[in-house]
Amino acid sequence: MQKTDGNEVVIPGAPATQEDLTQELLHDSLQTGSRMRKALLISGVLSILGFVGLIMHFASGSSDHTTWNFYAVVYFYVFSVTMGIPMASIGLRMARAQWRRPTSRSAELFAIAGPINLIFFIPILLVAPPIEGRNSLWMDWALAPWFPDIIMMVLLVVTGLAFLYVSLLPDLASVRDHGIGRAQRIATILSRDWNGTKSQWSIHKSALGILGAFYITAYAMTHLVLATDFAMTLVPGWKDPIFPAFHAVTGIQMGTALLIVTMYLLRRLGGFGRYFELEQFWGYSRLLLALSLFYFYFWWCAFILFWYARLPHEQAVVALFISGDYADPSVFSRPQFLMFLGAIGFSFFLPLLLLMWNVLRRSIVGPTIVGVIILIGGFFDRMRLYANAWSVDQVGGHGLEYIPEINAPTISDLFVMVGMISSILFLYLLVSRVVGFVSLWETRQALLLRFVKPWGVGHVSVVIKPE
Amino acid sequence: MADNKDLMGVFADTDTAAEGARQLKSAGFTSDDYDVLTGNPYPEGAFGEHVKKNRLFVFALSGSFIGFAIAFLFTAATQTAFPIVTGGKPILAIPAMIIIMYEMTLLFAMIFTVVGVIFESRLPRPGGEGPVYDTRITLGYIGLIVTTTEDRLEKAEEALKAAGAEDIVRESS
Amino acid sequence: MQDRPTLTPTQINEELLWPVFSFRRRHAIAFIPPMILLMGGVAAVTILVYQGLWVTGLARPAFWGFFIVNFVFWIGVSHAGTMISAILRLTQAEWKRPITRAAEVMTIFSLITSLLHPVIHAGRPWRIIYWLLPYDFSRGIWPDIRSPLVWDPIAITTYLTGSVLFVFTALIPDFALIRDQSTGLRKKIYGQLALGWRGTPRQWKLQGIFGLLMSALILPVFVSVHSIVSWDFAVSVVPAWHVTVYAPYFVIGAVHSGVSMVLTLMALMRWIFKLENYIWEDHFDAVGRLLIVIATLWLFFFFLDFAFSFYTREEQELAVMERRLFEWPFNAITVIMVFTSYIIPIPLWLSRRVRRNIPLMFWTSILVNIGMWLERYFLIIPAIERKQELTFLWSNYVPSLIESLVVLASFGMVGFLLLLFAKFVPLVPAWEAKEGVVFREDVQFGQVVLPGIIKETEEENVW
Repeated sequence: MQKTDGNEVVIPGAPATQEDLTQELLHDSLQTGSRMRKALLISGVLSILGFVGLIMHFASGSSDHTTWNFYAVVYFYVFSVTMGIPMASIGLRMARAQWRRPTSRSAELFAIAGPINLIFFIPILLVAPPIEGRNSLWMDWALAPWFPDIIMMVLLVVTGLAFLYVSLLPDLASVRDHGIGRAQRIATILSRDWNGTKSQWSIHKSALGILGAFYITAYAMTHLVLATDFAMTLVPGWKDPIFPAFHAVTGIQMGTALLIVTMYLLRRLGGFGRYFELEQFWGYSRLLLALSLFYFYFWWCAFILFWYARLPHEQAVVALFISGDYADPSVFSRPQFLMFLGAIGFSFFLPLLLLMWNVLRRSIVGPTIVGVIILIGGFFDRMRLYANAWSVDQVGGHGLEYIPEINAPTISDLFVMVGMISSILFLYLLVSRVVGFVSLWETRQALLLRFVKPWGVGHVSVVIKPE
Repeated sequence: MADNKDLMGVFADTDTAAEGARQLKSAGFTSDDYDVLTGNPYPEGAFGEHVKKNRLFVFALSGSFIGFAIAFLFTAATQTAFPIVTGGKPILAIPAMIIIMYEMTLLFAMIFTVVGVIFESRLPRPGGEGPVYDTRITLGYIGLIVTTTEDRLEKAEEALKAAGAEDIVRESS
Repeated sequence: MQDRPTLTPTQINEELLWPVFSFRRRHAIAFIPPMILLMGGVAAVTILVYQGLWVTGLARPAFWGFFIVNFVFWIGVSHAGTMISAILRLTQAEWKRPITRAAEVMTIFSLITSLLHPVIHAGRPWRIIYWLLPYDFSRGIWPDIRSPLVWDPIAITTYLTGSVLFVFTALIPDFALIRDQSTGLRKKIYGQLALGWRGTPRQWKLQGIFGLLMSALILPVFVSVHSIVSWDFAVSVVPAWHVTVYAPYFVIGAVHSGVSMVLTLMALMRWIFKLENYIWEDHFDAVGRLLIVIATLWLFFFFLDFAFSFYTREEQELAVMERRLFEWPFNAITVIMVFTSYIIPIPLWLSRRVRRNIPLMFWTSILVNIGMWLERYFLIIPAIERKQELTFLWSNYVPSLIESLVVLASFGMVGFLLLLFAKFVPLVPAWEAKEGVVFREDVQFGQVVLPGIIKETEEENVW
């Protein structure tokens, strides 16, 4: 820990001073350069593709849900990734991890993806088959599943946006007071009468706590109803209470992976190197390792039961999602098995084999590579689940009677994917023009709560944890 | 270096002990020449000491490989030695084997880790606490042990006394 | 932060080591209740062995009763030690220091206690020897590794071995401390146990790494143990047992009851051994906050299990749910369970005032464990009573007095072993308490003093 220069002890400093923070986060990062302009323009234009893809889908005239299978894959992939990111930040905030402070903003900004997820959810509701004759949590309720599901979705999106707004508030006030141009005008409207009084900060703190708890609850419940109503219900004989939890946890895993990749990009392209330091990557990579273990654990808990009990309807579920049709002699020509290999390989085995090494875990490039791997694995996983579940056309029955063919993805599915991702990127960058990628107030606090002091013949850093 | 001798300065608090370390350095001793005894962990390098690298992870890793191999052989061999189908499962029931291999991997990793900690801590010491030791260490005192040739012991003692050592413990010859 | 005294090493030695060097009345009195319970249990087991299993309430098809429920309960409690110490070590939470050892030791003793239950449950315990040994090399018949009843002992043995090694290695510095403070035979014995510990930076560093590495290794074991216990039930095709969520549901339930038991233990330690200077209100506060999260997760998994039992609307499963919800005594058990393990304690713990009120925390933690014990009963018994498809094979299990005495004795046994352990080593690690003092750094901020911790860091720039 010590850097000795001969007999002189050199005490390292904090990465920045309060003045540096003001300059960088309040003035420099809000300047829109040509590269940012280009990124905004491209992502804005590509956003339109999503709607083009949707129109193409509807124009093809098929209301058969098996032709929408890859739309479901794309939708639930983007939904899981983007809505999972704020969870990482909220969880760490509750655990009072100090190192997360410079990174929270870039995570919470992803709540802005909520409205996009809500819009593209509507086709899912329209084409998903009715629950009559199927297993369902809703007990033949006439309004199910669309009514409760849309309520949960709206609740999640609104809670996310509310959380984002509250966490932005102090920074909006800073932009109101010191910003320029359009950002300043927007901040003036949004920041309302925030002055940073004692009582405002105290309300702010409890609001973040309560909204965070609400977000976690809404997140779990939304994943519960979505995973049940749009995957489990479609497959006769598939009863798997852990699946909603698996769905939710993999969402957080993919979200954390995307956050690490985002941090890396902001470091490389945005010049935020001093905020996304080794410590932050290290912290998130530990979280990522834990979440990857959870991926396997939750998957295994379901698999071992189905494998062990050998009930015919559960064997069919294993065939549908893991092994592929037993009638096909070669496992490698079964698409279900290949999807499964991709999912577990990229979501669990590779991340585990890479992240178990301290050298890789404690680096900047290592977690980023694993992040990319997990984002790929997550896509495989959503494909394994939704492309297969949405291909089933059998209604009711005790178990799945045959393994269905999978309808191939179309160009419109690709358009939807590009469009959804671009529109989320567009909104993300757009909001960052008003408040920036790094939270000013949280980073200021981080600077106050940590300092380095001499100790013995060396030095140590002191972390303060306020209640 | 068989003719090296140990000498320990006993310090009452952190500040004087850190001063002792400084005095030793200026008297020409390097961080490899002295060691520290404390009654509880201190921030690493607080007394300018140099802790050599340990290979604990090698123990854990080799333990896990051994455990995995043993469990694999045990489960595979017993199943093939008495091949009876139970519950419609294959003779080499891989998921069931994985559970046992998992447990044994971790069991041996843990056992080897403990062996590794004891070995890398240079324990157990058959001769007890070693040539120079003071029971006041566990009362919060800090000991600086200089290991050096007989002719430099005098110099070390001077440095330790100058820093305010309460006591000097010498190795009995 | 007025309740955070600054202690000198000598004071720490005196306050933590008195049970080792003397036998005071408060310590002796504490032995009485567990010993009474334990003696009742010994009598009950003697009668059981002499008379046979008919003295229990077990009858076809419900052959798993109180003993198995209690076995699962104590396996569950044993999860607290690792959960608390491993997770807190890995997250480097400062408040772990006084809790870790007591929690880890509780792990060991509750594992030993739980392991006794299948043995008692066998009815003729001595026969277990014939089933286990000699290993049948000559006829080449081997245990069927496909059975969860083989996975289970392997997992529990792994966990027990790991926990014992964990506790022992972390004890070495305290053995050295007792060695240095004592004379005669005691010095000799503790000197052997301390293995010649000196306290060099290398040794301390290895202790630190060991804590982290061992935590990382034992956490996966801890998750697997209760998962495998749950698979004893879940991999079978018994309706209401064959549920995929059982493993994490059992684990989180175990953590819930175990951490609550740690809370109970903290309060008792503070009272019996006068540890006010070590176990602060802050610790109760922190454990309480952790428990809110754990309990809510438990509720989520409870909800998953509950909701999905109606998902397929299969008759047998509905029969089990009907028994759980509407038939005496399970209707009462269900209500008491939900109230004591969640609805009463959690809203209380939301208040900071309650979390810092030690008697209240003590009683609420006991409530949780009443609830969690009933939860095991709720999960295991109704399913096995309604296992068969034909209604004339249904039964209602009524536990006997003998079984109840054994259950009570299991609490006595864990308490007795803990008190006995405290006679030989301090329940609060002395070296960690001293480390806590060294690494504490109170910082003046304007007019308040905030608690800070010294962190060793290798990076140049730290936030």
